[in-house]
Amino acid sequence: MSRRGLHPLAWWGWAVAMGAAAVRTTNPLLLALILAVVAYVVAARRSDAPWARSFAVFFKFGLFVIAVRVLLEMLFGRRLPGTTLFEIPSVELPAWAAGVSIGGPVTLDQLVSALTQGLRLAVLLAVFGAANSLASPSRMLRSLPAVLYEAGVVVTVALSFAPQLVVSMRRTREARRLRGRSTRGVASVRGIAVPVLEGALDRSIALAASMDGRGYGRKADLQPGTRRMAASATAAGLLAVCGGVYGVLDATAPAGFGLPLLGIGSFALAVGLVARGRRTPRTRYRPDRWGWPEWSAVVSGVAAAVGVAITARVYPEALAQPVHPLGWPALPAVAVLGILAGLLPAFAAPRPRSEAVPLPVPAMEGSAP
Amino acid sequence: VSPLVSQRVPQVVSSLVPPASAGPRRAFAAFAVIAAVVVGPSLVAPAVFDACASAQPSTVAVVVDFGAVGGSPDVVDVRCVAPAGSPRNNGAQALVDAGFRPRYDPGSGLLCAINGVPASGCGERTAEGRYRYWSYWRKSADQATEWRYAAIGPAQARVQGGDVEGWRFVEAAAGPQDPQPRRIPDQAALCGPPPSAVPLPPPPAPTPVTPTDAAPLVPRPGDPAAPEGSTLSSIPPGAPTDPPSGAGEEVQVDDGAEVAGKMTERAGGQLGNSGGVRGPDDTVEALAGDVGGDRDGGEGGSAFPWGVGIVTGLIVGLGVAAAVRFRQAPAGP
Repeated sequence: MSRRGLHPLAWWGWAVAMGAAAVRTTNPLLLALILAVVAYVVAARRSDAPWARSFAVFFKFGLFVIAVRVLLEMLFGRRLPGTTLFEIPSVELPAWAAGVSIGGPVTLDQLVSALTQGLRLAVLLAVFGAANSLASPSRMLRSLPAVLYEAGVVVTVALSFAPQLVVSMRRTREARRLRGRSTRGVASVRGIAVPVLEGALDRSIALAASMDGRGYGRKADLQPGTRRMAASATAAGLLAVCGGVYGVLDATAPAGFGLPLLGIGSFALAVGLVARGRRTPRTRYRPDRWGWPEWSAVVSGVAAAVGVAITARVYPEALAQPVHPLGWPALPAVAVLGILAGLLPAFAAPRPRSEAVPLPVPAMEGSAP
Repeated sequence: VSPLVSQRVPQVVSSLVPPASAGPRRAFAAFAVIAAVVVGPSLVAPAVFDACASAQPSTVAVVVDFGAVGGSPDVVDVRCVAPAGSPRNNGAQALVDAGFRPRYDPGSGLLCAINGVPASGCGERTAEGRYRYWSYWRKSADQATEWRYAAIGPAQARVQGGDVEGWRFVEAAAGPQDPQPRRIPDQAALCGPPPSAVPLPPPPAPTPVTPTDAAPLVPRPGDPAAPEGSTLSSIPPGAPTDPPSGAGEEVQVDDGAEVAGKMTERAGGQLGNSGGVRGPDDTVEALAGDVGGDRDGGEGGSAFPWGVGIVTGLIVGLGVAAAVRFRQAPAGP
């Protein structure tokens, strides 16, 4: 039986877990390994849909982020002693501004530190791009759990903005090229950036509006009090889940507040779901199935996150690139094996069928509605 | 800033206070004067400094109190260095120039360890909710002789001759009420008079160090680095946290022979920076016993680890494979 590719929630689960592995470490070996694994999976299982180019776009954006991070570090970074590479002119600030430094000696430690921290952000962006290029945004919206219906428009825009951005960027560049204008260089960025951002947001909002018009997230047959209760419980639950995820993922967060907050958030979401009741049953046309390829993808991603988390507990120094004093990055075997397990979807996931259909949005540019 | 300028500043500022009604013109004038007062000293200071250079102490005293926390050696190490030139005249550079080897947290930049104390971890929180960390104290040349808990990090803290930089490894609440370094922050007493004022003694012999109650603390005889300026002085057992008065025991332990050693000149500091001075660290590590003896040397210039090479090859291979597959058409049915 032919399948229509992996369930989009499975791709997002895999990507979120890979991102959770990346965010805990500045070890360049682990980060590069995560990047290579994610790139290989995308290369093996991308479709020919327009949003499948997200990975390349976010990868390039990541390179830009690294460059900016290094530049900022050279200009305003910490001036700890180390192996000085070169000096840039420094500004002597008065004593009350002693906490700020502009210019000065640039050390190798500083550059390595900035590179690894920029790399971490770049890998996170690449993982996000991978999720966007592998999972179809329209199918993703379809298969969202019913809890998120309360925040229908927000979720729609949030999920479809990045793929719309990539599609919009491609169209704008093509339009510029057809008009004989340059699509490279700094000058072209100004001409491209505004229509791209505006177009992507417009399309996302149009998608949300059309879904709203078709009854997505409609709260029929509910008492106003119940509806208000459900909406506030959902909003509070989502906020608590966001805070809890931050507490779980960020190593510098105060200990012992992540998991309880996650629990409270999940409970509030459950309350919201129950309060809405099952009054408005929804049917799904050709629902995406959740089988063993989906399980294997999610589990392989979680293996990477768990490998890094175990290393963080047992051998926390191995997750950081040592600077001041500089040293070779450590090689925690558990984390390496866990990240390598993230390769599994490149082989276990079904090949996607052609998805070369535009997003379900009315054409916006040029043509009259 | 020199005393001359700093004395003038309060007068100007007090004359700035408007009597009753302050119009915009007056506000502008006040702004202009404030700007002149703030920017002025940095322009004037060098000239004034030259005028009374003889009175200005040339070195910075760096006091590192290893405390007695979790097996750290119960010693106070005092060294004096000339402050570095303009962009590098900060506390972190002074610490390195004095021959200490700090380790910083790669992410936050917090100072984690000095000379391998503690061997691992960084500002660990204990079960009682206290922090085991290196507290940072300062005493500027123009301030009263008392420690001030530093409000900024050593990389930002600017240092000039006559300052005293203090570090103490403590287990405390991480605030200004933490135990202070066990020396009076008096640069003149800690570093002694300038070398011109004191007849230089014959080649210094290794100073016997008074043992504490626990372990015999004897520096290695014939240590080549001993003349470089280690003023390892032990604390008498039961010494109070705040020294009672003066630096009496300092003078008693480190007699005249130490003065030359204390006045570690800029060259000596640079030597320490480039790893030439090993003696003081070795001595502290000998005192520290097994605390941090094994880790701190191996981090820096260790041989290339093979696992790193294998994983690097794996990363490159995966990346090339991904690039090749990106060149092909996207996966079809």
